[in-house]
Amino acid sequence: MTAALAWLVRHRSLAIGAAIVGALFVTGLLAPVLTGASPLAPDLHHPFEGVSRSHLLGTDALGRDIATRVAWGARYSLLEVTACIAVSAILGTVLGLTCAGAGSLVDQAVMWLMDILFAFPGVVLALLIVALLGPGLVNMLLAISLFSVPVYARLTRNLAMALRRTGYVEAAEAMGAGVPRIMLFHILPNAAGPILVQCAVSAGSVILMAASLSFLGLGVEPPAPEWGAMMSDGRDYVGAHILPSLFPGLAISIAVLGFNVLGEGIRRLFERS
Amino acid sequence: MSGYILRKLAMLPVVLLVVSALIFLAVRMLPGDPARLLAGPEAPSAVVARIHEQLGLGRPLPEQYATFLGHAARGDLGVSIESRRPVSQELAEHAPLTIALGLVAYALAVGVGVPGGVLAAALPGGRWDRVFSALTISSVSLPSFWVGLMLMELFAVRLQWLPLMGAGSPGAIVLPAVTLALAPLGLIGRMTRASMIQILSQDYIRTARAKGLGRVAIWFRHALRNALAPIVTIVGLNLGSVIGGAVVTESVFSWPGVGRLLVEAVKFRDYPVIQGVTLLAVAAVVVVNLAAEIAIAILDPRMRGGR
Repeated sequence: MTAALAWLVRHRSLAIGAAIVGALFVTGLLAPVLTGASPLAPDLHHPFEGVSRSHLLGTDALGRDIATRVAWGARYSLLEVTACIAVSAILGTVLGLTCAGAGSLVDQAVMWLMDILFAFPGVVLALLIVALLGPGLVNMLLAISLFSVPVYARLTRNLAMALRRTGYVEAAEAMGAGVPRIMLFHILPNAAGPILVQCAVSAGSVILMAASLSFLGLGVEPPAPEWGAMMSDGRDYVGAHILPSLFPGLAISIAVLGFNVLGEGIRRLFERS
Repeated sequence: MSGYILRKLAMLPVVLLVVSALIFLAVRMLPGDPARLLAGPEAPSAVVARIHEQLGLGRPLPEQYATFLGHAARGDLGVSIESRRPVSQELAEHAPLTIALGLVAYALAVGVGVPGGVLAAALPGGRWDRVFSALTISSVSLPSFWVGLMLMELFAVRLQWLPLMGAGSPGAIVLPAVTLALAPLGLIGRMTRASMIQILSQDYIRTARAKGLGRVAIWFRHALRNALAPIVTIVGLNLGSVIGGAVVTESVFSWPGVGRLLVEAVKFRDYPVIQGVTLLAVAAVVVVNLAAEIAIAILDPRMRGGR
């Protein structure tokens, strides 16, 4: 018990981050159980109510309970994080391994393309993709995934290049293992650690980017209870009613902070071992 | 100057060419006929056909791209569908406001982040270090549009110290600049701290202290100069996210820069404007990254001899 406690104190950021992210998961998964009200049904008799026992975080312009909508919004951020990280990490890893395995011509061409993609400011690239595909949840997720691919591709490629020169990979090569086999069974398992760290570190920025796009009206659109979309609704009432934009933004901040602290903790854990 | 930088300089036009081709292709793939958009929904089809002809939309793509490049080289980026004004004129009008906002934000981020990071590194684990690291991790975690709206509520609505939005008076730049400075401040602060901690453990610092130099002189004159290279790199590499941040910040504060121009253009599918702003943004990022590399080579003689 004391040993576990000591471990937690030593890995404070890991513990705090995991607690926040855990709470986010619980809130998101249990949103229908935790909240009594509907996140979408308007109640036009009670707009802009303050904090009270029946409305813990007040109500918005249409009388909807802000606490309910914030809780349902956790589902969107969980979806954004898992979908975008899965797509960009898998695409980037495949590209990186291909570069490391295929030899210098493919390697240089792909890495050069990644560099060019990297030169696009993230938001600008996402806006360009949204302009191309139109706003909406799926298109926004695609845009965010695409602009994070270069990070994973470069990381995986550099790891794989370094691992190729290790003794056990040379031994596998000498025994006649082909390039795909070496990449998948000998290099990927040993490169997985840093790639996972990168996933944890980038989760916060995925939420930030998704919320920004929705706030600009180019991602998830109102009336969906997505935090950025809620703020895009609430911004019109800043100056008169602050609650509808205060709480969704607070939720984004806490979620992003949680993922960033967790990522920092995981990074330190890997650096120590 | 080293061969490495010369090679990078020689690659610059090639990179810009590829980037412009990518943007050109992406914009051509956008849904909707630009001629129809330009003519308006009620225009007779003969008019649309004539505009189609004038814009050369029927010709093969490589030819269209060559024409586009030729025009772009002469500063002609087409005409905005929404405002009917030349895109170059729109850019010339809005870009200075974004540059001003970005410069003030960068000045804030460097002015607070670098001294803050130096002091945090001076006593790692100390009280200021802990406050500073909490500050920097929060500043990269808070959504800028939320911070912007809260600053607006507090300083423009409640206290009425500063204007609410727009760019009408000199005070109007304060809130958007503070909002935009937050994220780079966190990054620069963390990078300064990490870089300084590494430098402060080196022998020549101990020598400087042994010969009786004051601590402040050692931190800021001896150590900081050698800790600068990674800081300059992060400032340069960060320009892309600052431009992205400007897009969001400008929308919050109705700051009439290119970021807001881009968001409006995406909403109205104003393709020539999207193309012009994106080109400008990417060109700025590529050029500034190269400038940062050159600056590092000047700062650090070890980087001059090739890779």
